[in-house]
Amino acid sequence: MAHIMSVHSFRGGTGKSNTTANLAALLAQQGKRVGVVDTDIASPGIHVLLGLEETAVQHTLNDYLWGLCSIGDAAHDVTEHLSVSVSGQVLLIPSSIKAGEIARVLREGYDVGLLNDGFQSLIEELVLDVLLIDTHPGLNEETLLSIAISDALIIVMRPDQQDFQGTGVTVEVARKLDVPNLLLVVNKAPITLDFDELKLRVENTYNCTVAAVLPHSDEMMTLASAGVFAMHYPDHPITQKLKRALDMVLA
Amino acid sequence: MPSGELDPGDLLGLPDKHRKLIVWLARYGPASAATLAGELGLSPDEVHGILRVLLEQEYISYKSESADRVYNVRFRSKPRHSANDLLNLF
Repeated sequence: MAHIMSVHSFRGGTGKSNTTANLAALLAQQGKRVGVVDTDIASPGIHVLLGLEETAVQHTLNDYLWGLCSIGDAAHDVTEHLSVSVSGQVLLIPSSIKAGEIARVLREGYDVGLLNDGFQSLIEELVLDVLLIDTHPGLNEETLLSIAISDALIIVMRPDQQDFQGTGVTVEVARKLDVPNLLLVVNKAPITLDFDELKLRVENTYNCTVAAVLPHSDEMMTLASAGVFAMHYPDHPITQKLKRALDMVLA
Repeated sequence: MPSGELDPGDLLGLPDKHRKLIVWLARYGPASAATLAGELGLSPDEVHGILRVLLEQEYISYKSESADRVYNVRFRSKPRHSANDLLNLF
């Protein structure tokens, strides 16, 4: 049975898509077949991290939700763009970056049931080991669906008061939906902070395990989403933390 | 699958056992009452009672396969909840 993992943040800019892309690549390094769905239809971006050029996009999640193709038709093999050779595979179902198509979805909405059917079809058609859902920030019908069906939910937050408050809402929702494995990742932490104290404080605040405290990183900022950090910096402390976090997600 | 009446936001307002049943169907796909009872640790009477309520609410539907009914979740085609509505469902 494939593992479904959702990566979520209450607010934007926390590093959710970056985290998703890194986890996908690390899973592929372990030999896994990984599907990644960009459900952030209003502001898609993970295709940039995974090296999928707009000109190479055949079909998108939008096309599937509008009945124009099967979900499998929208899967793009981005494994070769990971910049290192991996034994597994990463298949991305991107959302459209075309302004008109984004506007259409925002105006008309889409069939959540069809989205859910798509997740299940992807797992079967592509014989996935893991389905990673890169969610839209905040609480809405689509993110609730992703959270509800997930075996593991990774909530990414910054050590910022707005994120602290919003993360509490998401944790409460996830508990109500009985997500089997709920983990927090504290991202972009200033290196001046005591990471052990921060981890403990976050864990006590939400009564939830912190899988990793990731520091603000100039290397990450310099890479600027031009690739997957863990593949460019395999020995970096951030990559090691992500690997340990992944072990906790899969446990 | 025809559109039903369920939005994901409705899950938050459901009784626990009803929610768990719906989430199981959404996660694993169509299933019989016997399968649901086994997977969710419910008695046959309990699961049939829950299914009856969810059918009335049009949150699920069924197809007849052999002698069994196989149930599936019926999400609404277009969501109706705003973000504020969702927060008020707690």
